[in-house]
Amino acid sequence: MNPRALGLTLFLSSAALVPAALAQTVRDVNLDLTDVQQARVRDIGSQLRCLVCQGESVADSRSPFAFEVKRQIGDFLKQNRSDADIIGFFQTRYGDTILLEPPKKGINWILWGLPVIALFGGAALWWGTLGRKNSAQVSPEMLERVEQDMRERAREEPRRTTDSSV
Amino acid sequence: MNPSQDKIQNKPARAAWTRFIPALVMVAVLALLAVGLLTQTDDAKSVLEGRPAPALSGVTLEGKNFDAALLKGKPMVINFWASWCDPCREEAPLFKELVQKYGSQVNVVGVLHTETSYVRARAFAQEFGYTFPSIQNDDRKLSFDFGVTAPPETFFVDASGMVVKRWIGPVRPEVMRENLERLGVKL
Repeated sequence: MNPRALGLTLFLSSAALVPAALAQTVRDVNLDLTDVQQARVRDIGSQLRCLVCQGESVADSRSPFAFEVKRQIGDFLKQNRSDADIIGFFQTRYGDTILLEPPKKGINWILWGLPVIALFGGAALWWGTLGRKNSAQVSPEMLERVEQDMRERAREEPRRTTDSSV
Repeated sequence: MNPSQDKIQNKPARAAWTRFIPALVMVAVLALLAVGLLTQTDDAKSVLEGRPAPALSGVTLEGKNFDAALLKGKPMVINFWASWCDPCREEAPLFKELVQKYGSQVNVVGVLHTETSYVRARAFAQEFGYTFPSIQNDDRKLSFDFGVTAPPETFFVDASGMVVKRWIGPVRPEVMRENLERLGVKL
């Protein structure tokens, strides 16, 4: 097998293994859960931040902390506790920082509002800059000079035509 | 005066300072980012600080029942540790010293967090001369109740049972001193 074909085969086989590896994360932790319960562990885990990771959800992380949280979620599901109840359990103990999506309250409104303000502010700034470019290029004095020049040319034009025809 | 000239002349003069708005906005955003980065510390505030400590009971490494409720009246230092955790080794001599020097003024309780072997945990306790009880915490309940993320974490609880401080990572001598003083321990 030539090196390129070998490389492609290795890449494709490793790419095929990635989803399998990801799917294993929840199954490894909660071996005795049904497929539906495992999907719920993944769903709830995707709403919780892994507090010892950099920008990773509990569902995606393989850290011991995420492992423990997933195991706890699995235990709660076996007790038929609701998703909101389970998320509330972690929020009470770890605060709002454990939620990947900050709740829309208090100072968090700044987080939600800032992108909108930035968008409209940027649009206003752009609009203002364009308007200034289109209208403020010519000063009144310059305009007056141009018009005077055109009037003089218009006066001189018939004279020039007459001269050239002679 | 023609209409176009009129339009230009009637346009309100734009204040000179407005051209600095984009730069000011950029400086403000950078300042916010800098403040956010510089104020990130190891001792992230726990939701428990200023609140009563959760109930602390269970079976110790020696297999005895333990209930912190029976120790009320004295401040308490609660340390979450594990035998596999290197930073726990780093701070371990400090806890031995804490019991030796201030054991009459403060209770010290250990809680195992994500421990993989009780045999190794007992060896760890013996190596560092831990004479205080350490709860097994097999069901992880205490870790979740205290909002622990990774060992070591230490909670300083005053005599009334309120959490005064949560410390993430190995406790340094100055951190121990400062928080013992806050608990009213005479050093």
